[in-house]
Amino acid sequence: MPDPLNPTKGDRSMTQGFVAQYAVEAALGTPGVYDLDTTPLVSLKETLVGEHEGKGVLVYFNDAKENLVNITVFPILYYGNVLPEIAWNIQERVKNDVEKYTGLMVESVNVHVKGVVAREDPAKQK
Amino acid sequence: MNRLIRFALIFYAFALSVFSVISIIVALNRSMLEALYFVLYGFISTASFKWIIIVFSGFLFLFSLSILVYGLQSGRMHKTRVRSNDIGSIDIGVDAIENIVLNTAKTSQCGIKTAKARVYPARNGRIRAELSAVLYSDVEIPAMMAKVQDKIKKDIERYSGIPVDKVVVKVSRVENITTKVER
Repeated sequence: MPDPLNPTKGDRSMTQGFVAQYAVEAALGTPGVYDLDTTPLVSLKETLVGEHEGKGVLVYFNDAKENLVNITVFPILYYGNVLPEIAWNIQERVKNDVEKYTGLMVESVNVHVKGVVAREDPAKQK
Repeated sequence: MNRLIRFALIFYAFALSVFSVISIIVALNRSMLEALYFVLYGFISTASFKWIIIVFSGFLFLFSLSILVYGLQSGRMHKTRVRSNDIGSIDIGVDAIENIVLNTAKTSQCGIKTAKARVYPARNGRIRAELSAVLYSDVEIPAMMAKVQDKIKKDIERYSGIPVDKVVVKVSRVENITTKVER
């Protein structure tokens, strides 16, 4: 008899890049975030191969427990904001969005602020 | 200090002292130079010793590189952990803190033309910020630099939450304000 919660048998898998895309969108949507920092290796890959999924974000699946994921975000923030507050907002938003859209459980969201940039137009400041 | 680097430094100091003793002996006695040459030539002529020397030299090269990198990076901070919560940790990179220092210096309107900022670790989890600035000539340096120091300290603590031990401002050059007259 088929399981009513899982009627179709088979495996479901998600790539790290797929999860990272949601994390990137969530991080970039947080107020006070200018961009995400990419490593030189990712920039080289983008130049040679094309688009890199989820740049500025590292995603690790927990090998011991299924459906657990660890995310590290490398944001560049706007000058004039309290950095820990923005970082905390990023953590919450990334955790909520990834859990909501992928069904995975987020074990940890680490934020490493890579840089601060000044806003070009002071009128745009929130 | 990293244990591997410490070991490498001890090994290097020992190798250098042996090398300096051999150099002194060879300089004083020329026949020792010839003896040393024949010993080394004998080693290299033997196939097995040749590979041992190549592997040993390769290790020495890697050790030198690691010490060079360590020497260049020592004293420079990498990141500062601001807080950890149940979701994860929050780190602020040294570049971000240096960017705060630069932006503060530029927006302080104290006659700074260009500036470079460095941040170093200090005691009790505090940091030390260094600003090297090129100023315009019409700036009252003591008053304005005191203002910049104060503002940098306040801004770092306010925006990053990291306590600042001290702020050092170095005036590297003063540039004249020249007006160009177009003909």
